Amino acid sequence: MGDNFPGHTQFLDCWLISGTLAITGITTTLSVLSQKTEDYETKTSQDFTLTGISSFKLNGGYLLSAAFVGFVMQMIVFAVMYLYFHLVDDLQLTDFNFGALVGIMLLGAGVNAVVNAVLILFVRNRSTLSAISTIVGTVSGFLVGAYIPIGVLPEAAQWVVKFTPGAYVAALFRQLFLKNDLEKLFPANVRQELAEQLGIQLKWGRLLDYGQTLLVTIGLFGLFLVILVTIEAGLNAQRQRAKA
Amino acid sequence: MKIEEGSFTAILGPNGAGKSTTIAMLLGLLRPSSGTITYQNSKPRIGVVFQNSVLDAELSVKENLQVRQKMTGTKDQAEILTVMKRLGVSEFAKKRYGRLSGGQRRRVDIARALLGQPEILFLDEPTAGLDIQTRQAIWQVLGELRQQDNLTIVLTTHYLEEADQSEMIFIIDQGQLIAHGSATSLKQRYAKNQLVLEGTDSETLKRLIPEELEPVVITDQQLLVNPVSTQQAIQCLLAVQSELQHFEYREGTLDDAFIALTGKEMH
Repeated sequence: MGDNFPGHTQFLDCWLISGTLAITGITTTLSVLSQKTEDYETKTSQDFTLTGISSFKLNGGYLLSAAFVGFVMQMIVFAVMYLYFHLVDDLQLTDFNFGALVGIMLLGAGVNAVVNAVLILFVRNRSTLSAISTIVGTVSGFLVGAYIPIGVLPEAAQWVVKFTPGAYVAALFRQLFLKNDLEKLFPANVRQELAEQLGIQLKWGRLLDYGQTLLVTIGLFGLFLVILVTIEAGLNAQRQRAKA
Repeated sequence: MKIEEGSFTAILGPNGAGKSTTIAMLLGLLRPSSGTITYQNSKPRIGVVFQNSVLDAELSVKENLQVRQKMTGTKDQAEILTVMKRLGVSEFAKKRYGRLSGGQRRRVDIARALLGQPEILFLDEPTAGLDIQTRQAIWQVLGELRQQDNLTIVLTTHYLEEADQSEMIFIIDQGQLIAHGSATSLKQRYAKNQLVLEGTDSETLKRLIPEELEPVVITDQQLLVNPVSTQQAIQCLLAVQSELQHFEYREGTLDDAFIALTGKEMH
């Protein structure tokens, strides 16, 4: 894409904002969840159990604070990026559904908090966690297609993308930000190709539309939540046995 | 091991002896590999001060206490004010925990452990790393708590002079209980009194002392005797009076008892 069509700069700005928001949701929730590992390492969690607080409440607390911080950070990142591109490229979001933006941010914060909670279930010290954070931070950029378009990734990597909840969140952001421009700026025959290459729509046989992407994201949310609760309940039962 | 209600008990041992492990088992955080733990009440109210502080450095003293209280599912502003007053932490209630001195932190730790009116208070190395004044202050607070509330206090320490002040001492080493009793009885049984005699010639001194005292020659001038009582020490001194130039007498301390029991020095 060169300078050969008007509005291309704003189009790319929005593409960058979408990808960055998706990564923000992943990395910030993980860094909040590191508190759980820290509490385990410093034996603070042992102290918590003495208060008789339920494991459900305790873990719910970690999840909620991770999601909350993840949401707020996305808001801040959005505000900063929009302001910058507005000043530099005269980016304007007209006819834009801010309600949907907040909704996707909330969903993204929730999904990523749960996925990251599963990821660190068995991490028991901070040095392991910091290694994992670095990997997640790097890999997520590729998996949500923020550094390079998803279409450029090798096919094997594209398969992994399909199992990354963050990629669907990124797709939701992109559809929200780019759908209008995509239709305005490009002829119908390249739209599909572009939507796939740029990770605006993910492909399950055919390209998923907005509603389907939303459903898949919520589905993955549920799936990871079930995994989390099951393993956590198992670990809890193990601890109870160890105490008895 | 038996710990009486309302007593002040110290668990003493070198690093790695199993003090913290014992506390963890008493708290139900670890399962003993053998043996059982029973409490008089099946579910006693327990307060704990861990070796490493578990409070939030970013929160104020009061917030830390409030968070703790919320976790136990109660909300009683008056209780927080009471424990803060008792431990003398009210003056810095609004200060961040992370900015307090070591001694102040410890007092807040104890205040937090007292939330929920515990019957038993466990403290794992409560005075480790504190200066002498602070250690004494903490010790005094604990004494008051015990007297006023009939609180059972169990603590681990490796400061022998502290253990000296508790009623019951359990000495453990490498996971084994090796001795127990009051400080006085432990000293009587395991610590030897030391009498060092100095004259022109230690051999001459040795000849003057009754055989059964088993005098030991330290240097050409010095001799060591372990009298079992002060009377015996005086007799010994009288016997060598003519040859004696200098002497030093020291009663057995808990240190001596500890070294005699574990075969190693503390710290």
